[in-house]
Amino acid sequence: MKFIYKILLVGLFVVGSIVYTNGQEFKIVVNSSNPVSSLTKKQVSNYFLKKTTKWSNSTIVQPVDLGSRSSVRANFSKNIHKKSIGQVRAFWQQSVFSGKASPPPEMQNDNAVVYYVKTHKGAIGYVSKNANTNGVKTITIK
Amino acid sequence: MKKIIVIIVLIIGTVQMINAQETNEEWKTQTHVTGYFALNCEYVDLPVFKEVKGRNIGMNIGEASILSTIRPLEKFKINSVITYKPRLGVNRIIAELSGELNFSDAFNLKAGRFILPLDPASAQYYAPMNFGVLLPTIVTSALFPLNINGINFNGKASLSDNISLCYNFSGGQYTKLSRIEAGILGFSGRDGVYMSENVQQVNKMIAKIESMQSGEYPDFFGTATKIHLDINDIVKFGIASFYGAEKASFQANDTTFYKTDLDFLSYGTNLIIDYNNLYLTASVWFIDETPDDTQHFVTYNSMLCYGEMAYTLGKVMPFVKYEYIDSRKKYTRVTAGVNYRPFFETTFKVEYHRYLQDYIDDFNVFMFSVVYSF
Repeated sequence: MKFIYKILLVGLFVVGSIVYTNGQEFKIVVNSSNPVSSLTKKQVSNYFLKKTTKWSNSTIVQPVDLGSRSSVRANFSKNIHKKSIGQVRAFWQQSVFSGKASPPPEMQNDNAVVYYVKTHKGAIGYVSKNANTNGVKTITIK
Repeated sequence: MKKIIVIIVLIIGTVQMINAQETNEEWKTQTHVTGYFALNCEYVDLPVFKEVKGRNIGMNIGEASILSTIRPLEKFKINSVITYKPRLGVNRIIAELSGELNFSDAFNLKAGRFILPLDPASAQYYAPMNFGVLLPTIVTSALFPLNINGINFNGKASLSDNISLCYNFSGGQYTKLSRIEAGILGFSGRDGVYMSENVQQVNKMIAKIESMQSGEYPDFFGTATKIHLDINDIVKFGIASFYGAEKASFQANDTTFYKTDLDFLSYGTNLIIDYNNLYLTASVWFIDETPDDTQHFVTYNSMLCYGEMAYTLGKVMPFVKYEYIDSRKKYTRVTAGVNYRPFFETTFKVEYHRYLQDYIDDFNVFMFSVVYSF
């Protein structure tokens, strides 16, 4: 019987881990002067992939990414773009070779993202769920 | 005098715009570097080709490219692409080197050397843009030059929430690259030349092509136009044209050398459907080559049809291509292949081509490639 309990516990742990890793481990931040307070996942994706280049107040959108080895970026890509980091990098490689657009700058950590967003009016970035976001606005995903 | 005033006003306006932008908001230079190299393997199952070239299978670095984009100002970027391909002359190693001012979505100005974006297949010159290994005939058959040294105006205007009208005008100097050998074996780009059972005839044709390519008129002036409608980023429909004022020459024998002025006009239409995992593109192009000296030079009217369909299944992308060429020789090339990119840094490509024509028995070409990206 104990063996069955152990199996169940391990099973619950595995399922729990999967649910946890597929959940949202990040928050979206914009410059505090940006009037936007919520966005859909599609809108966020379009801003980061530069398919939409201006905010509603005509400010140019300036997305900022975390580095390609960041687990927060992996979670963001999966949740927002429905793609792996590799697929998103392939998208940018094709965009630059076809002359359409260049990828967003990559920052080393949450603090650097927050600083970038704080100092750029049109910036949009994402940071880990527990990051200190003083000085920028956190928006909700509809 | 009027031209000088217009140029001065344009320069002052540009400097003002850059200054205004600099003072409005802090901008840090953004630099992006990406690139790739590809190991290619080719096998051409055509006896005449093997006899002329001495081999019909090869493996080598098929291409390598480094692209860098530097954006020192928010509205200005410098783009450069250095590309290595076998048999590529030194002058062609710099595929692109240009500066672009982004005034607005509706108006951008570019100057330098850049790829002419007249057909969706043009960008397939770079391996990550090409699902397969072999370059499309649209790239190798010189419907228009691959790149041009000059200026370009481009932009887009929104006609409604979902529809945009995009334009692209270019003008400048270009190098004629008709029937240049491409690929590991040098078969691609000259495939039509080898469709004969007579080795002497093939060698004679190659000698004539090389005589014309080494002529005294390598560079010409041309203009290119492309306009297309973009519907919701799913459907794109466009028309494009290229005009070049060219000269041609060839040496008939030791003492006779012919040369002529030539009007080169190409025009075509293209369609892209990019919906969910399906990518479909189709193009039709026509060429009118009209020499002044019709006694020694031939007037050519050519046609090229190109179709491509790919479907993304996770990391795997099967694709098929159809190409019909009605030029100096008439033939059809059908292609089937698979592109597998398990992760960003590595892509595997396998493809099979079948050439269908009336001159010799239909024949096959196989290709394999590994592309490493960074």
